[in-house]
Amino acid sequence: MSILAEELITQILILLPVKPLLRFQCVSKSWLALITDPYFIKIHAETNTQRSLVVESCDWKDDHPPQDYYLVDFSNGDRFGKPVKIFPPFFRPGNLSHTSVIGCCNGLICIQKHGCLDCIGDSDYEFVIWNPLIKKHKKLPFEPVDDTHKLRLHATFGYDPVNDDYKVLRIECGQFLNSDDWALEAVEVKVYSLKAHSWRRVEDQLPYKEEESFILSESAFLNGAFHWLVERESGPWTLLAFDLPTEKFGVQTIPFQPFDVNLKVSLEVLGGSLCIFAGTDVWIMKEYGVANSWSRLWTLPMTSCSLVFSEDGEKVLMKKDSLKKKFFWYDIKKKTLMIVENDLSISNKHQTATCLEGGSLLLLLDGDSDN
Amino acid sequence: MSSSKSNKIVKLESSDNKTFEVEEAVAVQSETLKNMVDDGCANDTIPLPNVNGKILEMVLGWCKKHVDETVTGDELNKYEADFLDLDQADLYGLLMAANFLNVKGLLDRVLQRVADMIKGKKPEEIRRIFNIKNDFTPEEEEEIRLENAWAFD
Repeated sequence: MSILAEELITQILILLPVKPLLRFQCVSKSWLALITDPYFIKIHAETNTQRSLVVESCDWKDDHPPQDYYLVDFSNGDRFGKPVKIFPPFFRPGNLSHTSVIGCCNGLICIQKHGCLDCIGDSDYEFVIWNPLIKKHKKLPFEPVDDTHKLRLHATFGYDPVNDDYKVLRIECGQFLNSDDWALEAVEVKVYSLKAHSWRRVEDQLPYKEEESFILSESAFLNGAFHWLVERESGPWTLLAFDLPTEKFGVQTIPFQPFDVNLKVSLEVLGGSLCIFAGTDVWIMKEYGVANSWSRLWTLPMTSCSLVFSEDGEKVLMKKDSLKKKFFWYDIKKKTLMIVENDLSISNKHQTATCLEGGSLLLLLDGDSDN
Repeated sequence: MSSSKSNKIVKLESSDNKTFEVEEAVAVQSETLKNMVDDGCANDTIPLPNVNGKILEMVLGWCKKHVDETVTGDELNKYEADFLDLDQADLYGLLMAANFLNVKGLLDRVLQRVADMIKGKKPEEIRRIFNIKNDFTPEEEEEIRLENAWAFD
């Protein structure tokens, strides 16, 4: 029985999911070298079509909600697997802090741990980058908030394709006393680089004057840049972008302003394009970077937020914006809804979900093991 | 050289001296053979010392099926699924032949089939299947197992 050439073995290994690859590291020294080679890891992450939903479930009835995290696989023809409970590295029974997922990228999740929500001024923010598929994580070094007026952090996570680096951007802001939202005052912007494993202040700070309050939406990551919808007290809504490789901010106009104060508005990425969900309308930026290319795509039967396209691109996975957070598929052509069979409403708890695409062997070598 | 492709015959000889004659359209499903034909080296019998008769017959059968216009999509799918229902020795022989002859569609299918077959296996089984020597010390191997204990369940 002849030995297969290394080139063929590599082509087979690329097709394997993460778990057997971890096992096969001990087959032989040459297999270990193959599997842990950074180029192999990169190609594997790119070809791996594993997709999962990360569902955060918490019961908002209590003051200090316990949180559960679940991983639900749906790589196989968009059929949902059983929700598997997972334990982020911060997770401790009886832990009263609140955690939230601030971004997912290439199989990595970044989680922010806040201090308890009622304790304004609590600067106890911690971050961890986690690979739930290989159960390894990396805690970010603690970076104190510069000014005690700066009460809130808005943080987001993404991949810099030019420098092959994963970065966390944090915007430290003062809360505008009259509102509950992210109305910002003076800000400080910092970035963490996984390669450097350290934080530093970004040279190009936010392009807004101090004392001008504004509200940021949740960010959407696309083409190596973060994007936010920005609502300012003086002026129309704009699109703010932060390019990870150059670490520069940019502002773009939005040619339509359908935003009525009562509408739920969110910025998302769907099928490789930026989309704005404004109430039941969905707008898409057809050409990235071209302000005039925004056009109305659909009108949905209800307000919701989207997660991801199905494998065949004909349906979109969405979450219904109501108390019983059910997930459903919206068929674009037929304009029909189909509630997800394997009911992901794990209980009546409040849920948010993010789509984790690709399983990566990243953090294999230097991550800490989850316990 | 004006004879139309469909009339030309390509002759192949396997490692165990079996000869096969196939139409050029069938043979050129293999990039390797296609290059030989294009370079004008396919006029005599082409020796294939690293592919045995049984495997070569299988590969040519695959190629024939894929140029046959009377075969429907469903029939082809069934054919491909049944085709790969082989024992390990044949599967690996087929893998190496598909790689050497560079028959793209076949190679992708076989690679996926092999991947599916090995993904649940233990390292010891992998070593047996691929005839690989374990060059770790027991301590080294144990360290890797401990690091990733959950993956060994």
